[in-house]
Amino acid sequence: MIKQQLHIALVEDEINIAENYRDALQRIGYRVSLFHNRQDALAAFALTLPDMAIIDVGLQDEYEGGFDLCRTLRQLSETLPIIFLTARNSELDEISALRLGADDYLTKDVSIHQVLARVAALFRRIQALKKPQSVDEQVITHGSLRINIERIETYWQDQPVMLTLTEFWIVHTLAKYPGQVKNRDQLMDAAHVVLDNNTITTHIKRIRKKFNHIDAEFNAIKTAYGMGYRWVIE
Amino acid sequence: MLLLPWAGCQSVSILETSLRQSHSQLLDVQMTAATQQLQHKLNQSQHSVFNTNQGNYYAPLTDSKMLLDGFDGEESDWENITTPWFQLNTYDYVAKLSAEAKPDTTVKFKLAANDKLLYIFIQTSALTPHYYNPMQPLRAADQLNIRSINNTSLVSRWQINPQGSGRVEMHNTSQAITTGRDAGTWLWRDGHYNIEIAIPIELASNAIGFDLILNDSQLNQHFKSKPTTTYERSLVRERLDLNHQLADYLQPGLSLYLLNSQYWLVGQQNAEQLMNDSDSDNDQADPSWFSNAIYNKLFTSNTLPYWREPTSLGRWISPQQLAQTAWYQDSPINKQLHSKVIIVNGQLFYFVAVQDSRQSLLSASAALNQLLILLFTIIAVIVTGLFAFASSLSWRIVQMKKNYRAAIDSDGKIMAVPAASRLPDELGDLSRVMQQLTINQGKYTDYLATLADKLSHELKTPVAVIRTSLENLELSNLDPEATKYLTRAMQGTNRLSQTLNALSEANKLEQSFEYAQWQVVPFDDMLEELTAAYRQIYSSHQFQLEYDHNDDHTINLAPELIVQLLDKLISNAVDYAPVDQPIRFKLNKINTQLQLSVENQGPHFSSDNIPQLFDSMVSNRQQSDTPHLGLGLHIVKLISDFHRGQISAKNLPGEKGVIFELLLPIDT
Repeated sequence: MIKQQLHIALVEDEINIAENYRDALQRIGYRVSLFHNRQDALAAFALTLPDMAIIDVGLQDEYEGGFDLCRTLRQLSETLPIIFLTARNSELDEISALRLGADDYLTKDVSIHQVLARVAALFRRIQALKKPQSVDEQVITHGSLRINIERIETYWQDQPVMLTLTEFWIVHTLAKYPGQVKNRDQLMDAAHVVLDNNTITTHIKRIRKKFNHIDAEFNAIKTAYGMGYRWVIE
Repeated sequence: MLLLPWAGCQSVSILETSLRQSHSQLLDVQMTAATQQLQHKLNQSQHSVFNTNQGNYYAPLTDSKMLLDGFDGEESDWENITTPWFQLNTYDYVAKLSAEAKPDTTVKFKLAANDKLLYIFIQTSALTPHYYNPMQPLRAADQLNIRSINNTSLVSRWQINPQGSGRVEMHNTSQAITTGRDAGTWLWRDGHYNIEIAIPIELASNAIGFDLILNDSQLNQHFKSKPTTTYERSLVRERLDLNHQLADYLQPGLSLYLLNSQYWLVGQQNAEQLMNDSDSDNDQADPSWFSNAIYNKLFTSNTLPYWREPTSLGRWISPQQLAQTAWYQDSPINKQLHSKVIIVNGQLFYFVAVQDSRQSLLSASAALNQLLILLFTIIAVIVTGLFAFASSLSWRIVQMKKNYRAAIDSDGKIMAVPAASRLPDELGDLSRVMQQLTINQGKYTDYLATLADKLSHELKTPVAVIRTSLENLELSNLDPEATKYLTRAMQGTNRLSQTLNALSEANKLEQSFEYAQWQVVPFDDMLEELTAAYRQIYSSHQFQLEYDHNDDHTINLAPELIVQLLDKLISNAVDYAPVDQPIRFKLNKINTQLQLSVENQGPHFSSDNIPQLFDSMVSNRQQSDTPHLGLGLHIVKLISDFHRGQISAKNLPGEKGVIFELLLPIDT
């Protein structure tokens, strides 16, 4: 029921791909608008914002048109979920995208099922944020860490840590069973993303940096070489 | 270039020849002039009365006053005088006696003269002396008579009647009043007479004759110069005034001789005398002995006759020499003989000059010296110049080689294009061509490097179109027949996707180096964790880790990249290694490096392509289910290079088994 109300804007210059994704998304009940360039998309977003934007990085003549569009969208809405879906798989592009405030970065070689799963996960987060805070909210507390799963909020030493959705799920997965090593696949599953190993590494680095920003001594995420990561409680 | 000294020598040789010729001509001219003067001088000396037809006696010049002591052996005055012995003959009885009956007594004498006295030394063979006894004046006694003629044709007659061995008196019997004067010594010693006497030269300057009367084997046996009553023979003597005259013409290296018609030496000046007088000149000439030696080697002809000492006992040895001007070989310098004939009052004189080539040698040698110095200087300059030029060329080539070696890394990647030379020569051209080639090569390499990435990127979109279409198709309800083909199409697409990912992986890895995080980690702990992880992931295989627990294996590296490197090595190993035999890690500390070896019992690499194993797109595999582009080991190499490490692969001894060795510097 909710899904039919949800409106996804798909900005993709490759018509065949765009329509394939549109078809898949529509099949499971989303309303999808297609845009083939930045200008059309911006014109439509000026009238009304979609519930989610899926953007390609290269848009027709504009090599980084998707990034520009993302920047503009972030100015329009702080909370609008944005997913990049692109053929480019360089780390630089991915970092740029996440830095611009995109919630996810998917390459076009992931399967359509995974795209759909990511979209659903993002909507779940939005739903959770919209819910009022209740007493029975699921909260995980380990030492200085406190995680509110319903509201997708993280606190370290009672200060909020601003994590993206992907980062939140990674932290959640690690912290849920402290001491246990979570390998990259497990972390990817938890975050509902299909990323290569390096991307998980990038995420872990960013997460550590964000915690370090609050607490320079933060050292709770340990690397288990070749296996993954684990949360350690001092 | 070596022709230069040869040409120099040739020119010096020509110079020497012409010098020799001109010297020869000069000598000729000088001799002609000297000849006239000598002729004049000889004319004045009134030698016209010389009767040389019947042989003559010769008296060389003695420069000292001689002691008339009857000795002529060693350490006597005669020792240094080279004068011939003359015989006195027994003319009286020759015809009447048989050969056996001929008296075996012989008498010989020799002469020497200075400008005052004529010295006479007479020696007989063994005999019994018969001395004059004034008490018995008629008894047969030995007696010496001498006839002499001076240049005023005054005849003098002398007589000596020895009264015993010792000093004797001489009587001039030609004068009205017979006077006696001390003549010298008449010695009877060792069985024979030694008579040493002297008479004034002015009384015997033209001729002299002896008549020695002995009474040994026969009574009144005469030993005479001539059988006649006027038994004198003309006297030829070496004359001081002529010697002085000749001295006027003397030059270094020139020996002058004046010979009479019988080739007796009447005057001489030797080059050696002059040389002895000027020893200091000799010393100065000595330093050039080397060039003299070279000179002699170069210019001495072996075809010339050898030079011999020309005079012996006052007489010219080989008169035929005088016929022509000729060169003779001598060491160290060649000699030239010139002769001129002087006729004085119908008498022949030979004026002989022997010139050694010293003078021309010195000039030519000096020329040769200068030439050689000049030549060797030129050659040295040229050689130095050429050497410097060759060195500079070589240096430039070496520099170019170094630059290009430094510019291109072991993978053939161009790090920086070396600056080209601006010089307009061939090497400059080469350098510029090389630079252009390198630039082109660089562009091509870049193109190739990005080709895979570009290609994969360009292919990704159509692949995405296909895959998304297939996935949509999957979601729509299809009949089982169609699902079968759909599944195959999906498999193909997935495989294509993986291939495309692999293609861009290496490129992506190099980009990720920029973000690599270096960390100081205990490598042994890290390997413990990794092997544990590999045991989990590849549960069918066994993994062993060996290292010395006492060593500190802390190392600075980018852990994520090293893990990726090991992932590739292990993924490679598990594909080949038999399940029942472990994959073995060994960690060693070698000075400032850590050595990690990964060993498995898989089949050997084919030995010819081991060095290329780590190159991109080289695969050792025969068949595989998954797409394999041979990028795994290339990535291993890239990461190893990024850590400034060394990766190598080799076959283990035996039937099978391979080992990868990674050397990582600890402090990077």
